[in-house]
Amino acid sequence: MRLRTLGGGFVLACLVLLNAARTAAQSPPAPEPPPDPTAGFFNDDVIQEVRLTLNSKDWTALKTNFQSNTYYPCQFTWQSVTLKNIGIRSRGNGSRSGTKPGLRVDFDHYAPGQRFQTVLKSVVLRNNTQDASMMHERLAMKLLALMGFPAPREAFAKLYVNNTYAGLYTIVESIDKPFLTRNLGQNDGFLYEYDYDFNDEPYHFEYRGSDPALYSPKPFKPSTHEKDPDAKPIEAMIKIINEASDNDFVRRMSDYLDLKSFMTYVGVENFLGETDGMLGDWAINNFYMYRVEHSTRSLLIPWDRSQSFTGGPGFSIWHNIFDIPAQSRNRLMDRAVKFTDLLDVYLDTLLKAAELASKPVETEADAAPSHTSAADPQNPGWLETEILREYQQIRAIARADSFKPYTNDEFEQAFEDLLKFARERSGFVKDEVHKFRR
Amino acid sequence: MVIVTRSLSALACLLLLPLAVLAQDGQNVQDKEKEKEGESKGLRFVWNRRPSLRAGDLLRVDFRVKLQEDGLSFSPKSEAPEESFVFARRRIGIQGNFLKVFEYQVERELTRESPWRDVFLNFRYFRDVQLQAGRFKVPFSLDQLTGEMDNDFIHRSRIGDLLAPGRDVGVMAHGRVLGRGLSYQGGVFRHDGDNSRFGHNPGAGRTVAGRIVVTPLRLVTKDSPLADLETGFAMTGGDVPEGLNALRGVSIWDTRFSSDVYVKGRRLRTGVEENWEPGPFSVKSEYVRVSDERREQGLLNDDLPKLLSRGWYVSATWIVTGEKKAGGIEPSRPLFRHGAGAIEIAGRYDRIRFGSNAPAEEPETNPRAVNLAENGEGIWAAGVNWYVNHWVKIQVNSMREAFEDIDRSPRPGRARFWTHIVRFQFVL
Repeated sequence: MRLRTLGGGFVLACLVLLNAARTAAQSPPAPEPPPDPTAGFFNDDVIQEVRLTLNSKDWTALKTNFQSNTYYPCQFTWQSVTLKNIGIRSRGNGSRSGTKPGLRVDFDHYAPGQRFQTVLKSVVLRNNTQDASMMHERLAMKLLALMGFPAPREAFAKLYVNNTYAGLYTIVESIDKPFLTRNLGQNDGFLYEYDYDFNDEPYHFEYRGSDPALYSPKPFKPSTHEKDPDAKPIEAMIKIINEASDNDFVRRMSDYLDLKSFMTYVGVENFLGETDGMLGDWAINNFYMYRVEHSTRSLLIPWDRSQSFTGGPGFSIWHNIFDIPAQSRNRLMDRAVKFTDLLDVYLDTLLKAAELASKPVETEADAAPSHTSAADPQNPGWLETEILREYQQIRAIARADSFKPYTNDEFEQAFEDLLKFARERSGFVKDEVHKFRR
Repeated sequence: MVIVTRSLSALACLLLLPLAVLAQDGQNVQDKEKEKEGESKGLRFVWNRRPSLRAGDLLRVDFRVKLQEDGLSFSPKSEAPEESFVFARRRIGIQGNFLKVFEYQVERELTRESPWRDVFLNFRYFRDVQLQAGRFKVPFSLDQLTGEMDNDFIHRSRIGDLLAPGRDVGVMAHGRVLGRGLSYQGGVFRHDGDNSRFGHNPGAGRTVAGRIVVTPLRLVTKDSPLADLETGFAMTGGDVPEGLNALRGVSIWDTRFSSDVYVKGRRLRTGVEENWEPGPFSVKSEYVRVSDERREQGLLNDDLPKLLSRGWYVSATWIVTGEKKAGGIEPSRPLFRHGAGAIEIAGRYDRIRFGSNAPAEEPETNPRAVNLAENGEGIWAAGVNWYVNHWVKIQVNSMREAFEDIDRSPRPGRARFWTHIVRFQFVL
């Protein structure tokens, strides 16, 4: 009787489960996430067109006082969307220009809460005055994104100011709360922009003392929680970088930074021939650091890649690691590279980036995996393909851009240099890594 | 606690000063007698409530000292203007007359920035038509023209502080006619006053200003309590150069609550005022409106509607110890002289507002907006003034500011703020 009861119960349970499974199979699939309203604006398959309308005296003043961060009121138009009551200002560091100003467009500067395409608080219109090809920034960010880093989306744009063509610009997604939400699913942590300018003492993660104010707002400028930047974890991290014993270094650092992720970051930067990044020639530069909500752990977000590729295809994989005096080295890299497993992450990243850049782009017709490592003009790798695609996209309007600080010949030469980089860099890097490992 | 301690220290210091003055003033009567005897006996030092040099009718030099120290307390706790004890004013100066027909005043703040206050010469050969030249207050706004040491409240009304011009360099004709039933002031000034110039803002250029004050009922009857009711009208006009040169809204907390606005063209101020001081009471009221043209200031270089800055106040005081208000309060029984001084209570409500009055357009906060998003504030002020003696006044004021746009208040998101101030004043 008991067995029969149990057996009946088992059958009933099976039926319930079967029914549940059938119901699940019949139920509609989980709803897809709503379409990204900003996707069209960052669609890099097309050249975007942005129109700014502002008082002509303001445009003159902005160009005259291009070193100033003064905001000017403006009207912003993209496609059929027009936003009024927005602010623009000159931006940049070495890229600042009075002829072709880099611009920061703040949709909420005068109207708190105003958003473009319901999401964006601001956007950068990069003038590319430090890059004759105008492609460094976009190419580098694209590779960083492919390598798994949260990188800003970018697209080329023709900029018109008061209905007059003002040049070819790159639209760059701002690193801010909407960016964090889109990439990390959270935005209430502490975001810092690494703030370095020419007058600053070069910084390599030296320990400056226990006062958090020695680290923020300079050089770690708070981009969120501006009134309470809470730089204590930064101070603690830098103290560990400088003072932790070799036995403790990795364990204690893991509370503040994923060292493998850090090695991956510098690996990609090195592959890209970056001279103004984490291991830059002018000390550390061009990144954001985001400390995750309710945590002391931070992650790195790349910024400003105008100096990518400038190291050339033969850029040493040990550039600014072993080939400079100890006092000029990035303290964090100097410590991390001494651990074999972390060094391996760095070298593996170089190989992975080299593979990715040289691997031919798969099309639907040619979906078979390819492992081409040497440059093949008939079958170009991803990086070369992307360079060619972008070049075709911008060539005419870049040449028509009379505000760029380069001649058209220099633009063409920079394109050729990029092609050379794409064709030679992967092979060079692989050789160097293999040589070291042998 | 710190404020209380420092308040008591300051009070002690400020009370010691009048004690010293009182000691000198004991000789007052003898000095006056000597003065009468020796009016033509050459240069003499006289102490008549303040030190003075006299040479008969030929020369008079009075030495002036004006000190004000404020203890401040903010609620909610303020970040910007920290709770503190500050010297609001430390002024020294001379004033007097010479050759019977010339009056002068030279007054300097003991600070490095903009130290000069009143520096002028007045020619009064004809009492009905006097000529004044130098640096002095542009004739506009009863509240602004009332001396800082004689104000009923520690802070002037917002319109008196922010919209009225204040001092500038110029020449002015003034006088009283119709049996003192009508007084007038009219002049030309280099700019439109210190209150209009701050930061890189140059204010208006050459400015014409005029003010008349009438006591209409005095012409009808001198016995009615309403005979002293004064009504005034004032105007200024000048051109403001192109730029972010608008007048500004600043809170008691010293934070901006009006947005920067590009202006260019004519700045026109108009003001109406009422003043009535029957016996121990007073009632004052004033309305001020300032319009600034915004020629070619639109995004398309088009003309924009004028920026309008306007406001009003009404205030009332009562001297509970019974002294008369008109002509300045003089305690009938000063402290240490068989009394406790004069006590006055005062209340005021004032409002100020900035906008462009173009309701057809969406309000915006940018400096080239067609319709400038308005912002303003209303302030309730209540206070007690203790006139300890001829030289010392202690004021206690509480003010509640309420902002229309909470995003532009001293602490965005919050509308109401309290400020409590105690002021110790010594004037020689």
